[in-house]
Amino acid sequence: MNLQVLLTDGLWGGVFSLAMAVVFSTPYGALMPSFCCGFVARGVRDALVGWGMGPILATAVAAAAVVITATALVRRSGVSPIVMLSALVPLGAAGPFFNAIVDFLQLSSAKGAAFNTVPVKLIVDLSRVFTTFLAIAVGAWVGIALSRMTRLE
Amino acid sequence: MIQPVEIALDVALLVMQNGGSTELVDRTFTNVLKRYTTADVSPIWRLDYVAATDRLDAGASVVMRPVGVVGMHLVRASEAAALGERVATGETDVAHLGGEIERIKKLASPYNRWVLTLAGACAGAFFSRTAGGDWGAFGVTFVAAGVGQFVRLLLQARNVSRILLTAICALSSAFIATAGLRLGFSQVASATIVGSVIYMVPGLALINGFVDVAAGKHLFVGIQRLVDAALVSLILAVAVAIADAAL
Repeated sequence: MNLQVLLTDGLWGGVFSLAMAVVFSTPYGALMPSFCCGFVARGVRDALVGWGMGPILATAVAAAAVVITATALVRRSGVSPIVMLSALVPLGAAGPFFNAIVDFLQLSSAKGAAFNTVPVKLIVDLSRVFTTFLAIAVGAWVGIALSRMTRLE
Repeated sequence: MIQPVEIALDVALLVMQNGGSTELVDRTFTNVLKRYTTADVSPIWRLDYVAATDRLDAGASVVMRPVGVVGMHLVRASEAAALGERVATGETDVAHLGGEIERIKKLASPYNRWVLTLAGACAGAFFSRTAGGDWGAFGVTFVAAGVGQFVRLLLQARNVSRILLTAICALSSAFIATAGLRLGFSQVASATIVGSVIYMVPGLALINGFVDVAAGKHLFVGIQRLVDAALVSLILAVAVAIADAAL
């Protein structure tokens, strides 16, 4: 695993979360936690995948790490969910989601070989979208439970 | 005894109208009522209206408030929640609550239009990098999301309906992104297209809805939030599809 690539990708995740936090009109005090959570989200997932963990499990662990980091860093009421959200967005399956839309639109006019390949692609993309979002939801739920147990929240 | 319930509902409504979670709305309502000797008050939280029933000796009184448009103004939401906490601990006198509510309603966004436009543009561009996009995708999404966010802020200031606003902004962003792809600025279609509309992702509604449904306590409002998020996602998907087919 290349540490430089890991840090660079983590940095992109961090600045993306920071920008989304501004779009969501987050108070100034929550901007730095947003950056940190975005960095953690991307960094943890990529590191775990690099060490051989499956991408779905790595996404779930990264989501839990984001929630724990957000609740530890943000104490202001109502703000920690938005910090979590800004950081969880890049973990989502945006690519497969877009591909599924394209596949679905192609389905009605598919002919020949595409008639067989497009439905399979659609199912694969939908499955990726579902499992990724499920992993985020489960990871976030575990993170909330751990935060409550350790009284971070 | 109806006035304390009305005031508590007004403070809680501020949290809901500005993007706070239902759990936070409920907590704020309870916090404000702690300073009054109300015996039996039951709130109902929905996206179209909020209501509270106060059981009195002579019967029950119901206070209702329409919610209106739910926006994203977390400074106001967190200020209203903090006000509830200050009332509960006695730091703020209940006599000053009316003035505090008006003050919170007038709180401006901490960021001006240009900062928000830049943030939207950066969100799109940075997302394209996290999704494996090339530098061409970075440039195209920066422009597409920036233009879309600028249009969005203009339309919001003119109180355009949310569905029409979402459709117009998503279409303008998706058209620019698709044009960039057709002109060969980028070879990574998914990162470019999704990045161009990422600033409109209904994430706040999704996460609040998920938390409400998972908690079980606010199932109805949770489902309302999730359906609302699904509707916005559908509009985004249709806009992307139209742009993809048209160019």
